Amino acid sequence: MDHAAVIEIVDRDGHCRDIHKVRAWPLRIGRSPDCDLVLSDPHLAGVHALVHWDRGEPATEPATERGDAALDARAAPAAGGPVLELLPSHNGAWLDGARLVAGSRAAWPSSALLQIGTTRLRLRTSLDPLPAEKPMSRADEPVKRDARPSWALPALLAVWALMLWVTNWATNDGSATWVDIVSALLAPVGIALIWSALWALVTQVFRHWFAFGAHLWRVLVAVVAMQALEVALPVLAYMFNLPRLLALETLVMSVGAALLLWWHATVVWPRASRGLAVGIGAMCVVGLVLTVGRRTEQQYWLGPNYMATLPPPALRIATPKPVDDFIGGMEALEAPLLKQAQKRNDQAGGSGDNDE
Amino acid sequence: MSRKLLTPGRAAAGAVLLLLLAALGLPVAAQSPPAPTAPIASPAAPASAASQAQPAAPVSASARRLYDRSRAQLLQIRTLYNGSQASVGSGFVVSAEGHVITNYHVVSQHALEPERYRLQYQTPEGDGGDIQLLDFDARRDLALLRVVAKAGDAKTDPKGVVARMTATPLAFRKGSQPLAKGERIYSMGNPHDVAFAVVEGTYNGLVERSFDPLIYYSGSINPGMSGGPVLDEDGEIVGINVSTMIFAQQMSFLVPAEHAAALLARSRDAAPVKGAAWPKLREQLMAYQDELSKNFLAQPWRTLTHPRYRFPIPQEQYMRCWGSGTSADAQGLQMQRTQCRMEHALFINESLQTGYLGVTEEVYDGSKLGALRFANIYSASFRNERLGAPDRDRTAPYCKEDFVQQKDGPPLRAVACLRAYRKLDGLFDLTVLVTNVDAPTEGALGRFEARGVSFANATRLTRHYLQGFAWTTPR
Repeated sequence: MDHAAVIEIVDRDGHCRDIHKVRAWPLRIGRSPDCDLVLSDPHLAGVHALVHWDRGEPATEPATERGDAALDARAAPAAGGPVLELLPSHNGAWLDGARLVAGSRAAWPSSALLQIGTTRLRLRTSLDPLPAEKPMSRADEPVKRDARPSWALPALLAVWALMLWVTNWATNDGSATWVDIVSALLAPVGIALIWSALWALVTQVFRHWFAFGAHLWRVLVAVVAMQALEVALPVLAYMFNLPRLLALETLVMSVGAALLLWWHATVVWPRASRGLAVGIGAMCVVGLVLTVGRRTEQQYWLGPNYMATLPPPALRIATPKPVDDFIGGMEALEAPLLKQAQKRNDQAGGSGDNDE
Repeated sequence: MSRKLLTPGRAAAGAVLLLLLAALGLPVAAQSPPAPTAPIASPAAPASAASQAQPAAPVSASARRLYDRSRAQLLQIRTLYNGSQASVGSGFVVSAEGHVITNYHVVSQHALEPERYRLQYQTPEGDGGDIQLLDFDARRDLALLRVVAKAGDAKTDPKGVVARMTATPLAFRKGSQPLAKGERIYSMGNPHDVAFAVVEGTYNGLVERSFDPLIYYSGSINPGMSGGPVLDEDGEIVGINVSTMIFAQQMSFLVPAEHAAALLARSRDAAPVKGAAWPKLREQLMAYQDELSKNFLAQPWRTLTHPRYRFPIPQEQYMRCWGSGTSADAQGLQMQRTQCRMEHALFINESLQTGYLGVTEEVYDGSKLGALRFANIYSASFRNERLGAPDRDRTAPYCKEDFVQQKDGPPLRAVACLRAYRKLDGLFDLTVLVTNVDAPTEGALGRFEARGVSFANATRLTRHYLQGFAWTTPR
């Protein structure tokens, strides 16, 4: 045994599934327990193949020969190296896709993939140059299960529940029963839990990790942030009389939703975060384009026709204008309206009273 | 009065009826609490049967006499689409040259799309022929037509149909002999394309609080009778059938005959209208909105009693106001609403009525709710105001919004939105939303509406409306 070698059993993805150390040449491969490499593959003969170490012709100094063999292994198998010999069998083998019938011999360079029966084998010897050690990507590091302090998730959940309760309280006029209030609170929480559980299941499938906490954290962060913005934007718009700020709402919602999706997906497919970002970003852009496309006849591409939020008067900072200034400002509407009126629209209208 | 009876079946006919009637009659019922608007007007059919069975024996003699006398001048006006009738109405001959009066809404399809819709007339005997549009008065909902064939011309009128029609044209009753309330008058026309009918009823004077005079007639007129004549005992034209009030009994409206007489005098020798009538319609609407706006702007606002604010409420000269609100012991937000509207709208086409004003004031009291809750619920109410979506007739609303304050008035948030008419260049629908922004638990939400006004008038009306808001006690 002068050349260290291993045979790797390769799965369909090309990853090594199992490894067999070659302890002596020649090596017998087959189904029989007498073989050196026993494969439980019903499409194999008892002893299906032999692997020799061919020393090459005139036997010379082992040291120089070793170097030559390494250099010429591919081009000239005769110069030495592993050689495959097929013993009598029905199915023969394929070496890198080329058919080998029973009884044939062929050099087996380490770049070539051998398929016997349905099993795929690769040979690696000490003559092959060993690739340098690859640096690890972050995604391959062990998952940090304590990325957040343990109180963070319950605390965020509590914050969200409080926000939901306040929103719900503020929108009802005191006539709601406790059943209404509790269900208004539980429904969104339930949806968030189910959503996280589904993502966790997907993560289980791809990464064998039921990442419920990780997904729930992401949902909560996104929802709390978006809900806070949804309150803050109209109030800011009112304070400073900046109604166009409300256009951001639509943007924030779609971009926020896309970011959340991406954040979920990176848990499931950590290696593909860039590809996911491109894909989800493209979806988000398409969605926005469709939204805008539907609104081309409106005054604004995004946002409502007018600012409807009226927070308590103490918050107003903008100073009111005289009526004449307002009327003067109306004049700017005439030209775009007349231009818009030139366009055709075949949408059937309602009666004249549809707006009441 | 309405048209389009047969084609799409009863339900559709009902819907049209409702739309058309809303033109003059009754938005009252359509918008305000007393009568819910849900049921469709299909009861029209049984109602018509009942009303025709009604005439009592002694008076029927004059109805019969009048019908016999005027039947030769009665016509059904049919709008044909691909050879089938798209809508039907009635009309009558008013001159020896073959001039015919009917409603504008009876011929609007032909007027606006002459290349798709043809006009024909049909006599009670079943004879018919082509008829052309000379002029119309959209404001009064009248149209002047003329029979194409010439009386006595053997080529165009071989059977002498036109000669018979024009032999004794119907005459208009003189303006100097006004009718008295309660006088019997007789409406004629072809309801639902069933058969020519004569319906007797009473003259009840003019409709009150109407911008343009309209005769209130107690008698059952039905879709299809639009444009038919209403005659007095002497067989002279008193008015023209135009609309009825839905969900009401025997409440019908007639255009006073003098407007038809004026239209005939004005356009007796006019050439037939060529092409779509949008420019003529626009011209008439422009003149109308100018008169209406001037009149409205000249009126001072009434004020609604409120401890804090003075709200602009229109005079009830030609608008009707209705009040409603939450019950006094209601929990949470309390609301009172005053809704004023002109009930007369101008018919343009099936999907568009215009030429009216409306004001709605809502007063909210949220003292039981607290500032935060009130702000939230009141905002939802402010957000709920509908402005309309872009359609075939009008653009999407374009709005101007800002905080506004007069020298001696409360600070307001004002939103003025306009929609431009696509085919009536220079006409707009205006909606102004106004709310106070100075009280944490009190809301005053106003909405002013003007349909079919010029841009200049829209800005004038907006200014007028905004100036109507003030403190109850000057500060």
